[in-house]
Amino acid sequence: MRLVVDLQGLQNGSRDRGIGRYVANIVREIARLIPPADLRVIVSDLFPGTVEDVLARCGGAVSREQVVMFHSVGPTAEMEPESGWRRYASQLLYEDLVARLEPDVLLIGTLMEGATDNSIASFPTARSYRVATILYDLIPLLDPKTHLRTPRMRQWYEKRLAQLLASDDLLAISGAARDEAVAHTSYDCDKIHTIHAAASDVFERAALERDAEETEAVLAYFGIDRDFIMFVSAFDARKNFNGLVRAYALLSPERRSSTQLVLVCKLGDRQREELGKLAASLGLADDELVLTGFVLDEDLRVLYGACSLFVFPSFHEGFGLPILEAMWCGAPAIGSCRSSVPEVVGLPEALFEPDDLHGMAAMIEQALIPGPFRDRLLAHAAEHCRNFSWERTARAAVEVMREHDRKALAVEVSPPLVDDLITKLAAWPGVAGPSGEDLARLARALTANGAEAARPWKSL
Amino acid sequence: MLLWLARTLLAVTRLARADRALRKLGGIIRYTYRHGRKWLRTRRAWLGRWIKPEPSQGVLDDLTTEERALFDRLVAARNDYLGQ
Repeated sequence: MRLVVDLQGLQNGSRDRGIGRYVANIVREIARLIPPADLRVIVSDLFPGTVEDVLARCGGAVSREQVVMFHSVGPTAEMEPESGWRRYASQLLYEDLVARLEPDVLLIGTLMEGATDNSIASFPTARSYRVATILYDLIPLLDPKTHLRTPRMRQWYEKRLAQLLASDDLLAISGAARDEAVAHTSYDCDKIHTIHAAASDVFERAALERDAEETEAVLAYFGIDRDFIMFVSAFDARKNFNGLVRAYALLSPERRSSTQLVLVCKLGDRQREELGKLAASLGLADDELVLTGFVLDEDLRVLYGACSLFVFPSFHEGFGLPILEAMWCGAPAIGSCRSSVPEVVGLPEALFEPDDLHGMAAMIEQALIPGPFRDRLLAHAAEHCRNFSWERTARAAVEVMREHDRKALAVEVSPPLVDDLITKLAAWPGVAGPSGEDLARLARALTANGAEAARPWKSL
Repeated sequence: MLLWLARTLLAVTRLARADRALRKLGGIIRYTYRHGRKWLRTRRAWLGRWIKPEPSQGVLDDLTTEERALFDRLVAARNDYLGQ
């Protein structure tokens, strides 16, 4: 099976978020399962200087020879009205490049991108290869008021969603993500496969490599001087930061004075101020709430390993990777009973209703007291996290794609012709057509893509 | 006295009407400026849509022979599409 994987998710703004981690880990494992000669990865030249970083994120499993550089005409961000022609041309160039590579399967790491960056991933209806796309969640579709505030944003999401649903298979990262797609789209449920996720190696090793001196130094750096409850997330209303801070404030003053609340999250000044104000209004002491800001994985694993309890109060998740990471590091974990969190926590008695602050506070209190419930959480964490591994996830994905390989294609497609492409590129019907400079850049990109696609697969 | 009162009233009415008219005009100018600028930015290509795409010589000099051939085909195709 010739597999082409789109790795723009490791180049754009998602690279430091859950999506970037997911793409890096799954590609690393897929590269171990598939012969090198059968795997190519696409990166875009519109994110200059990122190729080395992409290869590093793949942990050396992907070699430089397997990289196909996609040359296009940028900038292409959908939110920029002037980008219309360039985006149109770049999408055609992308489709042409993939068709010329003649893969059996195209795996797209993330399709819901390109609103404000130069990500381009596109495939035509009639194609000679099959497409599998990773499905993270449908949160903007379910909550458009929060995530799709402008008509242009809504238009962008609708286009991307239509493209997502044109994939031959969707690889859902959780059962909840699959259920959402089944419930809210007309996509054939037999073609949505749950492949799950796992914690990365950094966290798997943490349980074995904990170092007391390092732990002390990291805790001191972040101003943590006693036991602590921890939550890791991006700053978003659906993550329920406020609920957790309010629930923490409901704990007894004695408990709060002996246990800090540590929120690990990249925060702007305004968000930091907002949380500080909330803490002050709830009467929390200055040192009771710790806002770490962005934390490197190396420090994060130390925090996971040292925390007394990991709490995940989110209203809506695609998966909820931090729960698994915390479990891998030996932390007892409790979480909300919404979306994918229950399947990741994996213990019904460790779930709470995220709206019920008193219920959340009571469970936090119960989980902190040494006793049967805490022991059960600890034992469960050590056992449950072993049900997830990137190898297992990658195997599930490869199995789906191999199944692709065996299926006959419904449409016979003729090989791509330069003449056809040129006709399509010239036929841009919208406003802001190409300038002479644009066409010169297009000619250069077209030539470079031709050279990339001409490298034979067997040469690797 | 009555005449003076009537004239004053008429003048005040005219002034008020002129003031309303000026405010309205100001509003139209402000609206046109704000929205027109955006409208022009997104639609300006309508003006340049039928202009033959021709780059500066420096750009063409940088192209290889193969790229230049492709460029010529792209320009010809675009002009064909635009009906030039």
